[in-house]
Amino acid sequence: MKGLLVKDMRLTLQRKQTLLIFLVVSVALGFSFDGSFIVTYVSMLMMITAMGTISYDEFDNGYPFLFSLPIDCKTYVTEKYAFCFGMELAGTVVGLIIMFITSFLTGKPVEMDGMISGVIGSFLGMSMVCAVLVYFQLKFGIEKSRMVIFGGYGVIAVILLMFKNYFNSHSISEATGLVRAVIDLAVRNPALLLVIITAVLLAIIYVMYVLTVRMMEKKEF
Amino acid sequence: MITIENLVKRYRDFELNVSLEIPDGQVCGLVGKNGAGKSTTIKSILGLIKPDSGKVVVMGKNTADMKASDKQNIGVALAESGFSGYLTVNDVIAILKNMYDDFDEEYFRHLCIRFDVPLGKVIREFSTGMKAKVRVLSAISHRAKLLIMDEPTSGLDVEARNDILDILREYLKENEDCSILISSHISSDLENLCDDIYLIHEGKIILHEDTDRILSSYAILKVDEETYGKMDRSYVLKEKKENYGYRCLTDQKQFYMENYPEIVVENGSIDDLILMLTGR
Repeated sequence: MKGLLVKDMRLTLQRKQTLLIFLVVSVALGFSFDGSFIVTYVSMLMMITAMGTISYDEFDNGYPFLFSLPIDCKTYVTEKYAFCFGMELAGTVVGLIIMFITSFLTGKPVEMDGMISGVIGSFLGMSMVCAVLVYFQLKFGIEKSRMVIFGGYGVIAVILLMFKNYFNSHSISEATGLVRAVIDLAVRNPALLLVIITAVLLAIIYVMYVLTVRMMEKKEF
Repeated sequence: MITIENLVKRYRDFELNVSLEIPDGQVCGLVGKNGAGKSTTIKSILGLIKPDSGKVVVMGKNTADMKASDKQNIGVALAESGFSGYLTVNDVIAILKNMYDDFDEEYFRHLCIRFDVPLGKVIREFSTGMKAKVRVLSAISHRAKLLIMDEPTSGLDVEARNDILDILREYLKENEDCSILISSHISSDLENLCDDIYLIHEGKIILHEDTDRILSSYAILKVDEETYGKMDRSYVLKEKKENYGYRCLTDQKQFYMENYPEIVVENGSIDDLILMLTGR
């Protein structure tokens, strides 16, 4: 796995200029936006950059040679997840540094309580999205996965619209079933709700990992 | 080293059905026209595709059971697949160092310098010959016991082809117990390298012969119609009608030289085998 990590790191460093532009834009945005937005923004950019290594692997029929090296499908998928999550974590750290520096320079204090849960929540949420995207990129390739991902965005948009319509026509106090239970738990015990959401996200990430390994083991190169 | 028993792989318009064996320390050539099934056979050996039936055993292990650690002893160079073109050779060195337990960095760098392979330039800016050299050097720099080379000289000029063949010859000299499977449609490359040759056509092995025997006993006979009618054709493997009469492939050159001195006998080559046995 170390060899694959070195490969992905070296491929990412080939895009030094792009990473530098990302950093400059992030610092500029750090001065413009308050709170943890910049942390989420930088970690998302790093995650997308890390996922770009899948395109490099696939480019120019690279997979047959890659899988003739001393690796197996499980190692490849594990490395891809580790690299993407690692880059996302690095982005979170860089984002936090930018946030604290810009907050110090502009004199605007950082609200630590909301910021910590926000950063953890967005990290886990993005990791889940990353796990799903890695699956689709490896299953369908660069071009086809774009279509699938756009389709996925469409489905998410429809679900959000349904929620919006529901809350437009109902007040929070009228909510029933699962929605009611979540609202009650958020009021009664927010820490427990956070633990449950974290467990659900981690479970989704694990299931996506297992599915990705199985899918890659069935694939032919 | 490699045993393939009744390997069958079906595609919509193609079926591969082969058996072959490569003993330890043997250099084996797989020749055939484009689309004959050479790359599919090689991909089966590497476990990159799953056979519909049959068995592929590499270094005592079924390819389906092969682990990543088993591939430490295999060096691979594929015709149309290699390291990402966005990497430099220095990057490749760093990757191989962390990928193979026995990667010999000094040897790799030495060969790069000898064959003018630039270390700091991205691979996508390399010439076709240079890319081929990087693929072959990557395959031989971790002291592999088995080398699998799919068309390593395809699309190269004479000088680059000779460089690649020199690299392989030197590797063989230094690693006598190493086995090599090398596929090519440029058969002259294989004549001085391989111990034996498998000829594959439309997914099937149609000939397996020692290279020495091909070069010493096989021949093309150029025969006029009258001689063709009266000669003993027991040892003619294939014949083709030509303007002057018949062009015949035989594996008993000596017989015709001794008994029919009037026949024009041309020494056989692997190219002749391919043309006569697989041509229209």
